[in-house]
Amino acid sequence: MENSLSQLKEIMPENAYGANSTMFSMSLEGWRRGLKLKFFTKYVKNQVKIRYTLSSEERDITFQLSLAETVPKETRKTTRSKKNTKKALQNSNVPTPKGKSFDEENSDEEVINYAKTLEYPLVIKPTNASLGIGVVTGIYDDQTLVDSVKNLRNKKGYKEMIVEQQVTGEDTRLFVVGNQVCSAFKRIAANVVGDGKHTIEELIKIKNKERRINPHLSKSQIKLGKELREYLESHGLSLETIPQKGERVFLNESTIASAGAETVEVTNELTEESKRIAVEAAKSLPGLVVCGVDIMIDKKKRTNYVLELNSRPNIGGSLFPVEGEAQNISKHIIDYYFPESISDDETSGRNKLYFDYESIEKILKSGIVEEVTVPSLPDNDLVFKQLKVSGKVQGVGFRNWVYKKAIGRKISGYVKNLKDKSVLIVAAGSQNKVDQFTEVVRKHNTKKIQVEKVKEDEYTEPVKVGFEIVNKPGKIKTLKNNLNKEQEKNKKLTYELEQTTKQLKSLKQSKSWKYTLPMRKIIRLIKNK
Amino acid sequence: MNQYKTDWLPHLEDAIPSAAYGNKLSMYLIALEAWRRGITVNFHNIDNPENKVLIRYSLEFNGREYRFESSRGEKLTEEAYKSCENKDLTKKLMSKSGVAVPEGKRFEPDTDNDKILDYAKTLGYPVVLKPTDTNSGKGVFSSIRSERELEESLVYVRNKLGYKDIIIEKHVEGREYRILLVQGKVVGAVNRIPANIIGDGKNTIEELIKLKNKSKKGNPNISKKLINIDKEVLNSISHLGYTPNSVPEEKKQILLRSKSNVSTGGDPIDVTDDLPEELKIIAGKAVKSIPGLDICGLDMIVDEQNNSGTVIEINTKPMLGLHIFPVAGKARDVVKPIIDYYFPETMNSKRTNLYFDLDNIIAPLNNVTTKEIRLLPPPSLEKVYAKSYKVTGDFTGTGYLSWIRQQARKNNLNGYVKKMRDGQIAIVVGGVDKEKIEEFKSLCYRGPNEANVQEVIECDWNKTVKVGFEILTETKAELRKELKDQSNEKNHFKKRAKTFKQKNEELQRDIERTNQKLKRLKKEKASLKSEKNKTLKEIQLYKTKYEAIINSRSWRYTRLIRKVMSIIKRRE
Repeated sequence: MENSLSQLKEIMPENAYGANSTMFSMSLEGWRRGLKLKFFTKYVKNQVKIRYTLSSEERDITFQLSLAETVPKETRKTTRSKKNTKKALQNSNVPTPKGKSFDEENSDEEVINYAKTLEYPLVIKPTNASLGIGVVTGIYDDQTLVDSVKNLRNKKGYKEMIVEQQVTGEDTRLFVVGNQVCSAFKRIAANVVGDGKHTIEELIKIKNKERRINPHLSKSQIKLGKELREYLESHGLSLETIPQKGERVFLNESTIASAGAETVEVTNELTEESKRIAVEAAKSLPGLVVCGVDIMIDKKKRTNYVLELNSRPNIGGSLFPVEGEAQNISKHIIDYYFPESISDDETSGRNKLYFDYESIEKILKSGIVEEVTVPSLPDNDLVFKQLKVSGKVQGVGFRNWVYKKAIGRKISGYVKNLKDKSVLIVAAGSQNKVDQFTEVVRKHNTKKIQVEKVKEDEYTEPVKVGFEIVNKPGKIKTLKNNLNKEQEKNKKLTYELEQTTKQLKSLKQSKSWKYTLPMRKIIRLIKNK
Repeated sequence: MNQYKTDWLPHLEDAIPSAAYGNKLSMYLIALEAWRRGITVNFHNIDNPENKVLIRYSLEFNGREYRFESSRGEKLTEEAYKSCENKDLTKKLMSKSGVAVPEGKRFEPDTDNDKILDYAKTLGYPVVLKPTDTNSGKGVFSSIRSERELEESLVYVRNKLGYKDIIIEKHVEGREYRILLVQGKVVGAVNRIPANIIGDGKNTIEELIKLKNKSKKGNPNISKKLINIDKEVLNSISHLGYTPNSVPEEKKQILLRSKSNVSTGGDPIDVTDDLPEELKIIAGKAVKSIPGLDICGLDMIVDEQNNSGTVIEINTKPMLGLHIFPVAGKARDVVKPIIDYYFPETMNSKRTNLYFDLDNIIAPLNNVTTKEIRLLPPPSLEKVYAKSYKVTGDFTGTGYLSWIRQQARKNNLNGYVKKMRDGQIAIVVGGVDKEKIEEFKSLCYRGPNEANVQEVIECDWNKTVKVGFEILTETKAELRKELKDQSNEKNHFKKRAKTFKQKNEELQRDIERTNQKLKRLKKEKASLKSEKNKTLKEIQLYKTKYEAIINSRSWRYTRLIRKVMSIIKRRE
């Protein structure tokens, strides 16, 4: 399990980073179990959106990221409104922070007066904004309260809002699938951990690099700005401070990913009480079988306040946590929707194969294709081989020949030239086809191509479906580079030319040149004679 | 005919993506016509025991779906298909209906070559040898002149190529026609001339073949059907008394092969309008003789004097490009009747003039990263109106290209945006809403916030537009060309720089020389001046001396005497 998850990061194409990592890992999980997989486009507000359908013999289920279309529309709608969610939770006796929601008809004063009846600190959330937009936390006094309410309602235009007591604890996301909590992570604010050598600024840069290659965090970076400097200053630090080894320095107080927050896997630290509340929270809405439940967990006070329900949770935080053990939520979700596909067989090698999401997304996004069906996994056992072929095999069209032989047999992998004049073939496919293929390669001997030796080994890395001829990196890149060089040279030459022309002009205009004109004429006359 | 004409049907002008060039052309042409009428198109690859990647497609409309392989569709009955796969059976059926076919006989795999040679003798040379069930002229020897030649060919076809089941028939002389029939009606006819070149009195045969192959590249149908200088070609050349290095005289046509298949380099010339009624009747009869045959390409050898024809073959997967992209004559829209036949309810439906890209669809099917790809229907069946805009300004780092794409997609417009090497941006937008296209100009002006647009030049765009909106990047070929241009420019600059330098040096030398002269002259002037001064001084000296003399006393006293002396002188 751990292995297949660490490979997930390796095989995930960059265009699946971000929210699409959920789609990639779920569709991959289903496909690897032999479910049929189809991607298709849907136009939502003039934007191409990708949906996918997994099918077994028993059922077809279409998903939008982690959300199955079988989840009732009404439920989805409710989860999008903080106000209605809160109502549903309260109806099911799930603990939520004390508070009340307001809309356009309420005056600012009503909001403020109600808020004053609550205990500080308070939090204000716009009802219909997502991703933590507009949320004001840490309101400790009347003045801040009044300012925040007025700012949100009048300046930013969020008339509908919830005012509630800010509950203490750790902001934790629990994933409920069916009747189970299968993963949980807490969000911690952007931070760096000292090594006794680097400054905070340097540590942030290192962290940002790490974030860039994390499919879940790649799209948000920690910003080195005025706000950060002020925050550090207020804690007696600066960008130049060198924190001690192991010392964690927080960079702000936000638990929103776009502000640089991180996820820490905490599944194993959950109390039964927290889990029970999460499951109950999910059950408060009909058909919400897969749900991301946000709970403020205070271990000391033993309180669990449910803040929000998410019907289309992004599972990337659990797949790629910054700390803690990664959890394969896709597996649980597919298990739930396709119980017939559950199998203990981990040896068939299917978990080493993955489909070409990158190409598929590309053609779907091109806007001319409605639907793409992914080739099914071969039914029989898969083998993964690498063949190192030596002989007269480079520069003779061998790779093209290999491509044709492999692709027809539905063998996945690639072929590439090695520096020692041999050729490496990676071949994954059903046992008999790969054996056939290996035989054909071994025996290939023509005037042009001579295979002398084939060294056969097991191949252990994941293999992408389809067969590729790997070319030297970026032929087109070299062309472009050459072109740019030439252009540079031309620029230089043009400059030189201009300079000479100028010189020429100034020479021509020089006094001595002018004065000697008659003389030059005479000389020329004499010369001509 | 070394240069081909390129008058295509207007609705196909520039609408053939590069992946459709060659053997996917029939598939693309049919799929395109169907798609343009709003019929759903689905491409997929199929499993097969030969371990090949085979791409097929299906068309679906009103709940009816038909599968296709190239130009052969599902409406063709199994019976008709089988009758045409077996060339011997085809001939028998036609013969029964009174269609003239070449005299001949089929020999099963276990027949000895000797028996076949004996039969050929009774038939009389030249003879034709062909496998009983191959397509597109594979393993066909159409003009065997002697027993020895036949024996060699038999060994080659039966042992080397492995077609044991063969047909021997009499070679029929005459012009070869390919007639395309849909539901028994002739929709196109081409005269196929075997691979050939025409002398120009300058180039050798080898060079002429190269030139011809080059000119084929622009024709989607024959771009890949090049003439290889193989054994057959060398034989034909030497039969005519030439070598590949001979220079044929001007306008002399040299046939390089005896069989006229386009796949081995032959030239199709449209003759539909000139096809005599008699031949049409023969063709119709031939089709009728095979039950269930709906669409076919029929090969006929025509005796032009008697307007009689011998049918030598029937093909159920005919190349449509022969008629749509002939090398001479009129292009025929032979796809329309095919789609009309399959989906008669769409016969008069509106058709968009957009086309769809095949390259990006074929690639993932070809390397089996996808199993099936279904196209989106065209956004509308109405005719598309298009404009091109050239934008100048400062765009670097502003995301102008993706902004334009976003706007185009938002407005359901098709076309592309491309950054040119010179920094200008070329945009083509097409859509059914004329107003939107006109308004797009102001969007080009606006751009994203940071962009600084200086000018937008509007041009008409009369070519077809590809569906969807894309950001085009430079292709390898374009980059190469650009690189070449740049290095040409560089050389040009270098040359100019050199001449300038030379001129410069010359001028400098000139200046130096004149300066030196000037110096010399100045010196001379100076010495002259001093001489002048000296002379002036001397004059002064003499003057004073003279005055001194005049004013002296003796001079005055002797005045009287000098007067007297002068009088005396005068008197003398």
